[in-house]
Formats: sequence, C-alpha cells, structure tokens
Amino acid sequence: MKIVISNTSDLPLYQQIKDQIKDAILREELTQGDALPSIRSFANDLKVSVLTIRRVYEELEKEGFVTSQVGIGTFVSAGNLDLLRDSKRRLVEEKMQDIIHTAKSLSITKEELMEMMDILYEEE
Amino acid sequence: MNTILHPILEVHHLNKSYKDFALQDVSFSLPEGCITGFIGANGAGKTTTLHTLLGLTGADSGEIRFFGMDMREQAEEIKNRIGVVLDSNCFYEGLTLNQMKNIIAPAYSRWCEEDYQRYLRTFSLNPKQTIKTLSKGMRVKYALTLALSHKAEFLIMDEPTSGLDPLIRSQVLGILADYMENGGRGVFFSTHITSDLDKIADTLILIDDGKILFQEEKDVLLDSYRIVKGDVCWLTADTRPLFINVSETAFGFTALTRQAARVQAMMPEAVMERPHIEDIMLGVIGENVPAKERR
Amino acid sequence: MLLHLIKKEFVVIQKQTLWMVGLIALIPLFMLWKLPQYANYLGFVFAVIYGTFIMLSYICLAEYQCKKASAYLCTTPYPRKYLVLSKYFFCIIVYLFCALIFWLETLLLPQLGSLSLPLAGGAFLLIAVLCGIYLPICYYFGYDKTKFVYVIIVLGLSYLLPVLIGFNIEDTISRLFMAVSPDFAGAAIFITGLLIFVLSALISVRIYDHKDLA
Repeated sequence: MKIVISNTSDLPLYQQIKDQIKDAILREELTQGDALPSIRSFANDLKVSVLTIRRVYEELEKEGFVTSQVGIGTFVSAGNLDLLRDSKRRLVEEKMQDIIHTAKSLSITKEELMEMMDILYEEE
Repeated sequence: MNTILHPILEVHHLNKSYKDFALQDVSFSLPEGCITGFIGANGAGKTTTLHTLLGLTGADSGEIRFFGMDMREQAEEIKNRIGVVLDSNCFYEGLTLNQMKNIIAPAYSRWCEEDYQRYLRTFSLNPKQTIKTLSKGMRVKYALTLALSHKAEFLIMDEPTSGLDPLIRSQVLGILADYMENGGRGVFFSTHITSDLDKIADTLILIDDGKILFQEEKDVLLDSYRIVKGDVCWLTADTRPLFINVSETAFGFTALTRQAARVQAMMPEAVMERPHIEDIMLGVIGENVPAKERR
Repeated sequence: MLLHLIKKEFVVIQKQTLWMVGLIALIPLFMLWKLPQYANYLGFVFAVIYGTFIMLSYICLAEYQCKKASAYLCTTPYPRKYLVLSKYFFCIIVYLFCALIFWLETLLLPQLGSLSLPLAGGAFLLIAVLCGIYLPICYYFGYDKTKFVYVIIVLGLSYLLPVLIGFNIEDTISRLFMAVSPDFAGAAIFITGLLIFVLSALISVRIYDHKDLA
C-alpha cells in the first residue's frame, strides 16, 4: 500500500490518508482480512499524529471499509461488498465525469469520445 | 473502537507568580495515548509549569490531576507511576550509575531491574562509570533509563533533547515512540526544538509569557495554517489582515495565514504550502506580542 | 524507604569517609599526646564534633553542589520528610560510630579513661545542639549563606572548649546533679539531646515541605 502525503494539497491530512486507503481497498491491493498497521506505527511511519490515524480508522469503520477489534487491530472488511462495488463504480463514474467535462470544453463530440475510448481500451 | 480518551493529565487554572514572571490561568488536558509537545520560547514558562506539575514548587491556585488523581492528595501514588527526566545535571556527580540507581530504585514499587539492565545495554552505558565523566548525551540516556525502568505509565520530560546532536536526538525520539507502542500511556515533554515535534508529537501546547496560547492536535494545526508566498503588491489594506507574521523582501513576501480559502480567492496565483510547527509557533507568538507590550 | 535515604547520605560522601574515620580515631590519641589530663573529655568531644558536624556539612555541601539532585529525588515517591530525616539519622549514626571508636580506644589505652554516660550524654547533647541549629538554618537559607556559620561554630568551639574545661566540668556536673547519680544524669542529658534533635527535625521538615525547589 502506498500512502503519500502531499504538502501542497488543500485536503486535510486525515482526508488524504483516508482516501488513499480507500483507493487501495477498492483497487483490491488490500483485501478482506488484511491487517492495517497499528495506529502508533502507522503514525510514526507517516509522521502524523496518532489522533489523525485514529480518526482515519474510525471514519473508515463507519463507512464500512474496515472493522477494528480492541487490543487486536484493524482489518479490512469486505462486509459491504455491494458498497465496495458501488464505490468502485462511483470512482469510474467520477473519472468519466472529468473526461466528459474536459471533452465538452474542448468541443469534442460524443462520437469522437467513444472512438477514442474504443482505441484506448483495446490498447490496455 | 473505544473512542473515549480519558485525560491522563489535567491542569485547571494553574496560577503561580514569581517576582517578574507569572503563570496565568494555565489549563490543558492531555488525552491518553498521545505524545504532547510543550513548546514556547525560552523563559515562556515551560520549566516553571513542569516544576509545578511535579510538585517541586507550590502553585498559588489551580488543580492538577494525573490519572484522575489530585496531586495535592495522592502525590506519592502519582509519582510512583510517572517517569521524570529533568535537566541532565540532576545526579550526584561523584557516584557511579549503579550507585545512583540504588538510591532511586527503592522509591518505586514497580522497579524492574531487567528493564534497567536492558536499557543500559541499549544505550551502551557502563553502570560502573562515574556520572561526572558522562557526556551530555549519555546523561540524558541515563536519565531516560531510570525513568523507563519502573513501569512508568506517563513520562514527563523537561527539554530532553536540547544540546544533543541530531543522531542522539533521533535515538531518544525513537525510544519515546517505542515506549508508546509498548505500554506507555502518554508522554509530555517541553522543548524549543520544533523539528523534533514535527517528527513525533501528536498534540502541541504553546505557552508564551506564562499563558497558554493554544492546545491542538498537531495535524489539525498544520491543516489550518498555510504559508503564503507572493508578490508584495498583492498586500493591500484588504489582504494584509488575513496574514500573520508577514516578511517582505524586494523579491516578494512570505506570511502565515489561517484563512487559506480567502487568500486563495483573493490571490489566486500565490503559492500556498503547509507550514512547519516552527512557522506556526513564531506566527502565534508574534501575534501575542502586542498583548505583552500592553502590560 | 527511609533506610535507603540514610544509606544515600553515606554513599554520597563515601570519598570523605576513609580519612574521616582516621580523624575520629586519631583525635583522642592526639589529645592523649598533647593534653593527657583532658584527653578523656576533649578527645571524645572533639572527635564527635569533627566527626559528626563536619561530615554533616560535607553532606550539605554535596547537596549544594548537586542542587538538582535533591529536586530530582523530590519527583520520586520519596516524601520530602524522609529526605530531611535521613540527615538527622545520619548525625545520630555517626555519633554512635564515634562513640564506638572511642570506647574501643579506651579499652586499648587505659590512660584515655572511660566513656562514661555523662561524657557520652554531654557530647551527644552538644552535637544535638550544633546539628540541631545548623540543619534548619541550612534548609532555610541554603548551604551557601550558612557556610560561615559553620566555620564560626567549629573555630569557636576549638577555642571555647578548652576554656570551658578549665571550669572543671566534673565538679560542675556533680554540683548540678548532687541528688542524682552520674548515670541518671547522663541518661537525662541523652534524652534532652534527643528532644533537641526531634524539635530541630520538626522545624526542618516544615521548612523543607514549603521550600521552592524549582
């Protein structure tokens, strides 16, 4: 799992970390049952406060991405597979929105866009 | 997850006056599981506060509670559970490390000789060496050894890393991180070396001229301020009030702001960066100066 | 806990101990050589004064040189009271040690006389008064300001005692305690000394309890 904190981003630290963990889970870099690092060691490695990591884990748990057991640790939970799937779809949809927005501003038509999509999809 | 964090140290309205300095209405509350950095300029009141917390000097008024216990009533029990690192010159110089240990150890009901030996080895300290011959770095390590060898739940330290070279400082910070991972419930240390806090602190308390200016989570603090760099001509009567601690040169200005969004709106081309703790400390203390001069 | 603190006093001045023991043993012998008729009184009294009082001031000096050490000890569970009391017990133990050495010497050198109860009691009272005055003053004003007091006492005594001896102590004592046996008088003097120690300790503890150690 790669977590990089940007010094110039406008997002609060905990948001950046949370988003990147969520991405990792959605990209299935982290799967059901994987243990997340302990709060203290994670905080040390990222050079952030334990309170920030605590907040990240709490919010991830509230959103259904992880479960935590006191004294044992925090683990990725696929308890909400639908939620995950929806989130994945939403991720792609968000990126699509970006593409469509950019295309429209550059006066690219829907047909041209679909052509580009076909070509690029085959290349991957 | 159990999110209720009981405060491990609570200070309420602490007042202590000396002839030309006074702690005024000092209040703060340290949650469990955190390393708290107590920062301030020299003479701001860090050491006075620590001495008052430890009972070395009596407060004029105010309440101090460790683990929920009142310092006035259960001082011995509290002291048994906390590890203290003061100045590195608080030993009998003519004694060996072991002799000093034999004076300190019986005071603590949970003294652990194995822990003591283990830390001596970790720090490469020779127990038969005279304290007088120790370098400053070794003294701090020895003080840490004593503080960590009686299963202390909370560490209080007064400028533990000042005067140490970066290598030893890094070692000390590493020990603190280990301590928190292995049963330590809190650390409170005063310092004016803010780079150490960037690395290891969870919460910060700033004191200036005897008053607490803020107590805040480190990351929340770093999130709420931004360093702004831009053209001097962008500093107008409208924009100047948004900034703290403006420094202007012929090539531009650098300033701190709490209102990043507004600044972004009014100066879209300005460069915005996350500050370091030192920037915030200087900025907030700088804001406090008019208050001091008013006195 | 108190025992460890008493032990601490001895450990802190360990370097001085060797030659102090020598001094305690030699003073009576020196007296025997120079003033044999007063060796019994002066020998013991001086040995006790130099032994106990001087050792005590060494301890206060060590505390002064390592000021922060006692502050550090106050951050441990050791009660401040014990940190004060350990010095008083130290005085008493050193006194007993002087008495032991002198007593052994009297066994080996009969010309030295004997360690009678009045003599032991008198020396104990003397040391109780000296330490009893010195310690609270030292706690209140600090070792630095008290230094000259100690020097005056030691020098003053060195001149004063022979003069006092001139008054023939034995006669004085027997006249004062005509009705009682010397042993009873000796015991009474001991108890007075103890009371002075206790009073002084109470005062010192009170001073130190409120002392600002920052």
